[in-house]
Amino acid sequence: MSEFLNSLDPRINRLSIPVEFGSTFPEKDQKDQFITFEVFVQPKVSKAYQHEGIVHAPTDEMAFLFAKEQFSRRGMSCSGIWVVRTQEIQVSPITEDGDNIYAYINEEIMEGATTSESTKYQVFHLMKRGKQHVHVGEVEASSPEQALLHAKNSFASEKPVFNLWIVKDSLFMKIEGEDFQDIWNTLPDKKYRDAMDYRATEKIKKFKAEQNA
Amino acid sequence: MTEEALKDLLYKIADDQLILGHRNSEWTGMGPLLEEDIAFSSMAQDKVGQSLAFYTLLQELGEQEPDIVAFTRNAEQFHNCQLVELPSGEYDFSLIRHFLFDHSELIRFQMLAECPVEEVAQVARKLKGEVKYHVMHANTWVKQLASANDEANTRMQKSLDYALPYALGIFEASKFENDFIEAGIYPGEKAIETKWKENIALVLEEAGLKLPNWSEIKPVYGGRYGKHTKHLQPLLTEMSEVFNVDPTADW
Repeated sequence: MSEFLNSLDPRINRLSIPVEFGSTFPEKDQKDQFITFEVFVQPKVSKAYQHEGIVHAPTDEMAFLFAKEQFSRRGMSCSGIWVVRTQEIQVSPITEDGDNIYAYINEEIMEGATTSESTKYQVFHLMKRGKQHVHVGEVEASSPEQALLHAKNSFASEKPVFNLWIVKDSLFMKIEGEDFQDIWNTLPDKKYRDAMDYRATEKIKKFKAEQNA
Repeated sequence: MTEEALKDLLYKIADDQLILGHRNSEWTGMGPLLEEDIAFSSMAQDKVGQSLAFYTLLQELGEQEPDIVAFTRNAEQFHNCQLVELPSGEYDFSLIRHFLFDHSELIRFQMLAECPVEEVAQVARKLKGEVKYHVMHANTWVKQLASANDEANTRMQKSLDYALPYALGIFEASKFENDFIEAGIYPGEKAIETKWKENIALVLEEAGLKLPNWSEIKPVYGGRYGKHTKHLQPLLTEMSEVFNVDPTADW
């Protein structure tokens, strides 16, 4: 068995995700580009944060700058963005078919876990393959492993979860709340960034009719 | 305050945004990294969008429609400051210009948000959030590059020194300056300039860049009265090239 998650998707393989939950990502000898950050976007205050993608950046501040224009440049609204270094995300194994990842999480995973002071962890679920991880809530725990167990107690249900992300809350850069709401003020006016806004069919029909006349 | 005075104010704001938006869009496809290419292009688009909002206000005051105003005037009919028309140069200059200009614009919009002319206040209130992000972007980049290594710091300092006389030109007084202040439209260019100097000094100090003694810098004025560098007309000619193929076309 290989050390890293082996997938048919080459993008997954390139990420070298360790099979062992909680182990750190390998360091490259030489950096050929900036490190990556994962970006989570909240479309409106009443909705959950959702993973939207990756940006390369030298710092979390710059990651936010890029994330905003990469992942909240279209749509009706946006109320917040979280960014976190990719390597800080603890990724659970991925299950097959209808298998629920929570079925594999029990007291045993705590064996050998390095514990520290209890802190807040954010929990994300992958409910459908090919879709994005969605934030489900937070748990207090003294290790990522314990966070998994607590996540099971708090968030597991009948519906299978295929993959879990666990991230220490203090590692996020969060741009949200009242102080920042106005930076997305003009989003609904930016229809010109959507293909929908360029309705050419009528014009083409008219043009053709004129040509044929 | 007369309508002529209000138009003077709206024209200089709109023209600054249109010209800087066009200049910054020259980086599209050539930005220093993919993410920044997209971010800088988006902000350039924001600027052009903001100019449209102000040209639309002008249309409501009886001026011609935005496309005509944007695409059919000659350089001497534009009221933008010379800072925004300068060639994009290298990325250090474009960033410094973005930093210097957007800091002034944020203060301008914050002041205009309180303007008794409700139509103007509404636009300013709406757009100032957008500009707030532009300033966050500018501050972060300036700090990041100025503290990166010696070459980066030297280049940023050089661009700053070059841009500052032009940046002071943003605040060239209008002939209606007293009318604006008396009518409470906004506190005037001097007031923006004072606040701007405070705000940029904070960031530049943190970034490790030096501000020269203001009294030793001679502001480059003229833009607000139609006096421009040789760089504006070629920009306008290029910008209106497609429009001029068929000015009556419906896009």
